[in-house]
Amino acid sequence: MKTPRIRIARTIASQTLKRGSSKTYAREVAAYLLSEGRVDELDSLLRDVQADWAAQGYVEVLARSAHPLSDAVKDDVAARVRSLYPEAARVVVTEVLDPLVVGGVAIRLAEQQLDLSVQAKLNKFKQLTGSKS
Amino acid sequence: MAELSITDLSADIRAAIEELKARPEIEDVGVVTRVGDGIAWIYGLSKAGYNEMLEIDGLSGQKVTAFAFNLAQDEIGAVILGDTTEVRAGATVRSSGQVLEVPVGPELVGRVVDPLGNPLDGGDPIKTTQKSPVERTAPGVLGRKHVHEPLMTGLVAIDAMVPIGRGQRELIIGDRQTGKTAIAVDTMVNQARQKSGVINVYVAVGQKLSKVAALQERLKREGVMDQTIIVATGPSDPAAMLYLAPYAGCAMGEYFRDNKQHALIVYDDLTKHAQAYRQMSLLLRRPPGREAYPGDVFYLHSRLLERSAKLSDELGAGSLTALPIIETQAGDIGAYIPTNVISITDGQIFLETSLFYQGIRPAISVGLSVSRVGGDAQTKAIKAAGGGMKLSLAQFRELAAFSQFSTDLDAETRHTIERGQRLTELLKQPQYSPYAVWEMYSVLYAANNGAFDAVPLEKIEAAREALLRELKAKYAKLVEALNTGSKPTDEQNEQVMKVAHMIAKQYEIQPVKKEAK
Ligand SMILES: Nc1ncnc2c1ncn2[C@@H]1O[C@H](COP(=O)(O)OP(=O)(O)O)[C@@H](O)[C@H]1O
Ligand SMILES: [Mg+2]
Repeated sequence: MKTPRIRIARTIASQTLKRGSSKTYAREVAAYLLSEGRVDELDSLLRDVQADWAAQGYVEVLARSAHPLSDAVKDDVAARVRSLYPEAARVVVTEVLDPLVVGGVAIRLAEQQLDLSVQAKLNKFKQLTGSKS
Repeated sequence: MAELSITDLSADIRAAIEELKARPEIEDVGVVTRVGDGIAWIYGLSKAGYNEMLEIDGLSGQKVTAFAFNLAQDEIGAVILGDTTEVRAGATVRSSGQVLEVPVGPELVGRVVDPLGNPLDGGDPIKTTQKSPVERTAPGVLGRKHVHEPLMTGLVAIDAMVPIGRGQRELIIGDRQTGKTAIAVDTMVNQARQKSGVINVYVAVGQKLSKVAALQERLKREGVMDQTIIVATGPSDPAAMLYLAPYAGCAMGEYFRDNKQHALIVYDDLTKHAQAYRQMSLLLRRPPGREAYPGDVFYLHSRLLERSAKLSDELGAGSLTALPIIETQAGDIGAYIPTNVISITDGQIFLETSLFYQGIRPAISVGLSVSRVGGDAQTKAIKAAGGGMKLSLAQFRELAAFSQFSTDLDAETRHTIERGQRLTELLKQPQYSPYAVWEMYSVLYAANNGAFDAVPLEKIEAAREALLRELKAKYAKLVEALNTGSKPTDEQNEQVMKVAHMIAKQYEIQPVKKEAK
């Protein structure tokens, strides 16, 4: 009777949306994954969480780049994402500094949750921003 | 709060995993992985033992106590004793290295407490100097002595026919509303009346707290509360508390046993106790067996009742007598739990609904009730007066049933029946009126020697009371002598008969000549 990953993700997503994330909560999740022997699912699980956040109106975009982004670029990214998620209550751009990204900025959304139409828009969006992701 | 970010969450979880994995002391520290139904599942703590007390770090900083109940390969099911809402997955758990303990000692006497020794009577906090594990091994054969001192219930029917000795385990069994609790309570009352010095421990398993409060009130009024501890659990308490109550009460009783004193413990009742255990076991996902009880339910009660004992002189000669109660359904003593407990105890007092409704109270079934070890402990006087009574009463009940079909009974049969009817009347006893030894003896001796043979059935109880009043008022010396319990002299017996005949006369419709025996 293994709990489906999608259910675990949904729980984590709604818990964190309600209460915010904290070290204590992270510990709870960690303990659970350890005891269930599912630590290696963490990456997929986190992607699901991100998708679930988006589905519930909280869209986080990870913008990976070698150098800090200017406010103008950030606003631009946010505006474009917002057009993909017109229903989103909040869109947040999180910068991830990564020297391995040679140029431009790599954008990652929780793709799995996107339906086809959005996916299509995203492809266009990727072209526009010159993303490699 | 900081903006929610998947990267932070990821980093935090990874760090927590590393930290949890790297714990060098995983044997002594564990982590809660799931919580529900009052049970915490714990990862780690590989060295924890059965019934070991665990401390969980609660949400608001305080420690929550739990005890290890299910020891599986790689996790522990622990029963939470404190506030379950304080316990979250991820919380750190430490083992204490100690099994669950409860406060014990004279400070508890007179109080109503929960199974952990917390007061429920609104009184001051209880400060005992000692604690004792709820689960302890029973004294071994060498530490015991055979049961030889009486534990008088004050109920004539029991003390004369199914006598109980100190250290014995006598089951009280019957359907609901047959007077089971009443017998146990009267026995406690008698310890105060006869100044036996025996400490009572009454364990209420899942009983309405209003009922327990009423009992406490009554015991106070009867002057019994001063030598009584009540361990109470209500119907809405967690199953774990109901499960613990008998063991906790037993530990409190053992204190007296181990300190050269005598205690009586009443478990009211073990049917509910078994049900609480079943519920816990299902929550802990133990495989259910017959009647959905886990396979070790026999051991549940055997290890509890084994702790009642008469200790050897080397160990101080103290005792703990147990009166476990079992509630049957439609008189079925063949169900799983009744059969188990019958096989563990040293006898049983079986109560019957039909007798109860015929007004024969206490509603003891003479044929089905036995005491396997109490005979040696019986007061000599009572043994002398009550000897043979069980058999003749049983015979009488059989004859009485037969006589319904038969109109022409021979004189002897009629005589047996009439004696039996009178004896039955004499054995009726209202609640809270336990008899002293002299009272039992006088009544039994007079009846067995035909003093009441001409008294109409409906006046028997009144005649009995009159006899006792008369003896008490005018024969103080005789009363005192009879009350020692040693075998009465011929002279004393004659005196009893003289008074009995005199009293009986006043209740006879018309003077009849005594039948020759
Ligand atoms: N010896 C007795 N004489 C009169 N009434 C009694 C006697 N014993 C019990 N009762 C009454 O019978 C009822 C049931 O008794 P109780 O001891 O509560 O039964 P149980 O514990 O078997 O359910 C109570 O109201 C009690 O007062
Ligand atoms: Mg009862």
